[in-house]
Parts: sequence; structure tokens; C-alpha cells
Amino acid sequence: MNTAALILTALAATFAIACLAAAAVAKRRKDNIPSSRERLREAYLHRIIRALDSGGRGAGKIEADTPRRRMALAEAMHLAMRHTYGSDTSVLQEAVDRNSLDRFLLRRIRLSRGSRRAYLLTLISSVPSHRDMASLLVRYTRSRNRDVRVSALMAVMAANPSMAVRALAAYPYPLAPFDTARIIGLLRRGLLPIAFEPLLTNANRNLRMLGMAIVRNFGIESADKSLGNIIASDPDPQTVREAVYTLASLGRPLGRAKIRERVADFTPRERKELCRFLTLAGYSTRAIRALLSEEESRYAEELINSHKRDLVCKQHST
Amino acid sequence: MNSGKIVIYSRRGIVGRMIADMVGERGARVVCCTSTRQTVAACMHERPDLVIVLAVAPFMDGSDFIRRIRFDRRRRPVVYVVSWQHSEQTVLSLLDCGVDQYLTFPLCMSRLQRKITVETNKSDEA
Amino acid sequence: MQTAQYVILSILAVALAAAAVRVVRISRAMRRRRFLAPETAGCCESLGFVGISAVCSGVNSIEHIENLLGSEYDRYELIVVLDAERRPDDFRNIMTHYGMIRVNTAESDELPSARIRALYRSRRRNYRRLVLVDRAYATPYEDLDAGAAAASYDYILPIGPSDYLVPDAVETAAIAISDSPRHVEALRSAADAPCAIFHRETVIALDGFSPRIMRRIPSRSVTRIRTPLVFRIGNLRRTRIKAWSAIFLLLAPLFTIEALLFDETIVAATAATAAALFAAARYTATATSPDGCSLKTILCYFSRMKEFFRPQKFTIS
Repeated sequence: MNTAALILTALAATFAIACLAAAAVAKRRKDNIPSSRERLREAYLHRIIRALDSGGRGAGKIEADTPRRRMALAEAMHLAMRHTYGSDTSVLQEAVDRNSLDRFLLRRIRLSRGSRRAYLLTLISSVPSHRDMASLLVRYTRSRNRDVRVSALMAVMAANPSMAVRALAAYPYPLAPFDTARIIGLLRRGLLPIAFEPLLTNANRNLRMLGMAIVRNFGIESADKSLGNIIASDPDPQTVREAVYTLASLGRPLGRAKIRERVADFTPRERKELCRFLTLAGYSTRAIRALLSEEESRYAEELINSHKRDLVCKQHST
Repeated sequence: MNSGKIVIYSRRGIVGRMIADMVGERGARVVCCTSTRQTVAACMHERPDLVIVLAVAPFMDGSDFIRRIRFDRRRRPVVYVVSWQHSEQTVLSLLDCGVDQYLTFPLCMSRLQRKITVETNKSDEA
Repeated sequence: MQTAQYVILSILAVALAAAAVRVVRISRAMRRRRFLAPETAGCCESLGFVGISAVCSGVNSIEHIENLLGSEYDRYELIVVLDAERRPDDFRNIMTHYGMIRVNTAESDELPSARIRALYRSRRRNYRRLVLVDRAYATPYEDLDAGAAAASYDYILPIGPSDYLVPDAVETAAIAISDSPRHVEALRSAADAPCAIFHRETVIALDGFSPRIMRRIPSRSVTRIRTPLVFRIGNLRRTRIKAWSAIFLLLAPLFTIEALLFDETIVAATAATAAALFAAARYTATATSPDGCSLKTILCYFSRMKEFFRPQKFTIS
């Protein structure tokens, strides 16, 4: 009994000390007190920006000889690459090669788990690396952890942009909206040379979803025919829903017979959601009436009217 | 070489300082802030030529942010908003309330620098 | 006597294990949040077309509304429900500050308890996310019904008078909802300031908000996250009194009994476990809450313990 009590006391004391230490670290983070790695990261970021700005001149050699410095350099590169585009990244490639940054990150990825691994994969997607990196990372696209496999997919696509579509087609899990938003981020940086039309007509669901996300994000109105074809013929209800919403977000006409037919297959809840979406997208009552039932259209009309004020005095106004 | 003054607001200090590195190389004096209160105080103190805001919420929450940073009618700083992609309605709202330029991430560094050089030269001439 | 010692040690071990599991889960959730935060920033426009309407009852200060409007997410609106007759000055302040004008409104047949007197929206485009609802105050639940009736988006986030949004709360919620493979009827944040987001049609199907609404939603349709969406600013003095009273009422008799009946190793084990629970509360509060108040976290532990015996009611602050 005494032994059990002593063991429990020791465990409790250790746990308490660990929690207090973690609380101290959390407090520093909350108070924005930079750690030494964060200070290093900022210093590297400054040099990277100077290097990108001057085309490699004036920044000197960017060196990172310890693991802490390499992590800081990788984080700085990620920040710079995430927020900029169009600069000549050969100076960064030089820094990566000199410091074996990609191999360092790969080793760290192998040894880590969970969010930490996902974070390291995100870093490696921003670090200019060689094409063979894609084949070394592809195994992580089958991880049980969602964040890991999506980050791995992005890293594979970034490492070998010419095989990006193939990598996405081979990805065995359905992409969620947040995943497509992150992939669009790669597109915006100019890392992926993807055209939307082949994606919209592709048999692979993930590619079609990405194609629609591209259409939406870049406001490509000329895609309405392809979207109409998806609505008319795609067997997956979620893809059809996505296509209808994408058309609506572009403000395209929705009164076509095939669209009406597919929308009629939506559940009452989904139709009501669509009603609200169309109202906010600026569709008129007439356009909504052509698509939905009388009751749903009445609801839409009330919602549309609630964004307006009658000038003719039907009711008192303040 | 221009001597313009720029105030940058970003909730994430490191991103603000990164933008400061991009724009500060041309000789402008740059002050980075991490809260709207700090930004307003910096604007009152520095009387900047340009304010770069890396967020849209300060213009949409009723805190009258743009009126407070443009408190001096004689010296009205140019306001750039740089943020991730927003909807058309949000962009129009920003322009309606007086924002001069809306830019999205990722940024083209050279383009941003050129725009800022033009703005700071304009204010020098004025 | 030995049985009693075993029982006490077992209870202490279970409490310590539960605290450890909670700390590990929260630490993982915070790590994930730190990893996602920069990625979340790039998702302001729309995530799977998920839109969130925050409905608040009892919120009447401009400063509070500014916090609630401070989200960068595009598909978001704030519906403030206020009784213009009970609080005419607050109502007038909001109307003037945001340039509100009265707009058309119709009686809601989806939520009959809504009974809106008038609906106001802003003339100014940059305040288009704010909606003001004037209704006679009866209960906070009816206020939430009125807000839900006027909502333009699919998900309703009830907000109370002491609730403030943490940074990126709306984006975090939108990501969690859009990422779920099943249809989400409710999203629950199991952080210290518990908070839930409901699908509008679920609220209508359950005849509006009520204390039992959470219990009536099947748990397989509820998505749970451990990151906080709101933090509560309450009366700190009252929180301190409640927390310390609860701690005293629990620990004082326990230590007294142990000191009288058992040897000092049991007392030491109890003291160490209590210290460990305090430390866990300290970590949780620091990591998840902007004000870092560990006493609130301790009160939360007590209410979690009560949940075992009696399901919690849905309330807003």
C-alpha cells in the first residue's frame, strides 16, 4: 500500500512539473516572446528576402550548420515562398543544396508523427527540392492521419509539378474543401501548371473537385458548359452539388432543365441550403422560382426582401 | 532615394516584418505593428505616407479604423490592404470605405516595391 | 481500512489518468491548431460553401460587437438580438454607429417563437455582415430563435453576453464542418468555454433552441473539436469565490479524513494528485484561453464531473 501510494505521488509530482513547464512555454508563446529558433528564423527570412530581391547578390551564402538553424531556415523559406511568387528561387536552391536541407527535413519527417510530421511535410513542399524527392514522400500520402497525407500530397506535387495531376489522381482518399483550398495555394504560387478543362472532364473525382475549385477561385465563367455537363451526367451527388454551387458562385444561369432535374434530387435540407446560397449570390426570385418549389421560392423571396426596404409605405419605417 | 514613411499592421508580427524587409530596402522608414491600437498610435506619431494593412477585419468591424489612421486631413496616407483572397463583396466594401489598393497573397515583390516607390515619390513631390 | 485506502488510491489514479489524457489531447489539438493557423489564413473566402451566422443575445456594447465582427471569413454574419424598448440607449448607439436602417421582415413560420418586431441592416457595405433584430425579450432561447429565423447562412453559432470569439474561431469551425465526411448537425467545442454550432434546419426540426437541444441531437451527428472557439469574460471575483469554495469543500474534508484514518503516504498521494490537477488546469488555461484563468478551468472540471450524473443543459454564458 505504501509503495503504491509512493508511486502515485511520484507520478503525480512528475506530471505536475511537466504541466507547469508546458504552461510556461505556452505563456511565452502567448506573450509573443520569441524563442531563439524564432529569432534565427527571422534573421534567415531577412536574408532570404534580400537574396530574392537582389537576385542572389548581397545576401552572402546562407548557411545552417546545426539542426536548429536548418529548421529555422526551412521555416523562413516556407514563409517567404508561401507569401510571394515570381522571384528567382535559384538562390534558395543553392542554400538548400549547400545545407542539405531537403535531406534534413526528410530525416525529421521519418522520425516524427502526427501534426509534427504534417508540419514538416508542409515545410518541405516550400523548400526547392529535386524531383526524386517526390518518390520518397509518396508513401506518406497513405498515412492514417489526414493532415499528414494531405501535406504529403502537396509536397509530392510541389516536388514534381509535371506529375502533379498524376499524383492527385493516385491519391486514394476524397479531398475535403480545406484540402483543395491548400492545393489552390500551391497554384497561386505558380508551382503547378494545371489547366482546369482536362480536370473537369476527368473521371477521377478529386481532379474534378480541384477543377471546380480552380474555376471558382479564378472566376472562370467560360467553364459553365463543362460544369453543366458534370451536373447532367455525374453520378456522385456531392460532385453535382459542388458543380451547382460553383455555377451559382459565378452568377451563371441555372434554369436549364438538366440542372432542375438534378436539384430536384437534392434532399429538402440541401434545397433550402441552396436557396439561401442563391439569395446571397444575388439571384432574383424569378431565377430561384425556376429552380425550386413554390414554398422554397417563397422562403427565398422573404429572405431577399429582408435585404431591402420598401419605399412604398406598406409598413412604418424608423 | 526616397525617404517615405510606411506603417505596416499585421496580427502575425513575422509576416509584417517580412513585408517591411521587402519595402524597406528602398530607403523608406518602416514601422511594424501587431494591433490596430498600435497602428493608430504609430500613424499619429509618424504621419506615414503609406499604411499597409495585412487584414480586412479592421475595416469591417465598426472600429472606424480608416478614419482613425487618416485623422489628419492635410496629410492623408495611402492605404493598401494585402490579404488572402476574399469575395468580391468584401473587396468592394474595402474600396468603398476608402482603401486605395487591394492586393492578394502571394505577392509579387517587385510589383509591390514599384507601387510603393510610386506612392512615396508622389508624397515627396507633394 | 485497507479497502478504503485502495479505493482512494484508485480514485486518485483515475483522476490523474483522466487529467493526463485531457492534457495530451489538448496539447495535440493546440499543436494542430498552430500548424493549421497559417494555412487557415488562406481560406477566408469559403470552405465548402459553409456559412456561419453568429446569433447573440444580451450583447449590447459596440466594443463587444467589434470583437464578434472581427472575423476574416467571408461567409459569416453577426445577428444581434436586442429589445429596443428595454435597452433604448444601447439600441440607438448600435443603430447610429453602424448606420442601420429598418428593412422588410416577415413573420417566421419555421420558428414561431421568433416574433421579430423589426429587422435592421446597415446602409454601409462594409457593415453588411451585421444584422440587428428587435424583439421583446423573454428568454435567451427565444432570442436565439429570432436570430436563427433571420439568419442567411446554414450554421448558427449562439453567443452569450460574456462570450468573445478567439482569433480564427470561425475559420476553425468552418474547416471542422466542411471536413466532416458525414452531415454535421452540430459542432461542439469541448474546450473550457463550451460552445456549440447548430445546423439551422436541425434547430427548426427541434422546434428551436432549448436547454435540452444538445441531448436531442444524436451523438453520431455531432462533430467534436478540442480547440476553443470562444472565451468567456465573467465576473472574476465570483469565479474565484466559486472555484475556491468548491476546492475547499472537496479537499478539506478529504484531507481531514485521510489524516485521521490513514497514514501520511495516502495524504501525500492526495496532495500530489491535487497539485497535478491544478498544474493540468494551469496548462489548459494558458494554452487555450486568452485570459489564462486556471480557476475557470477547475470549475469546468467540476461541471464535467457533474455531466456523468446528469447531462448538461445547453446555455449561453
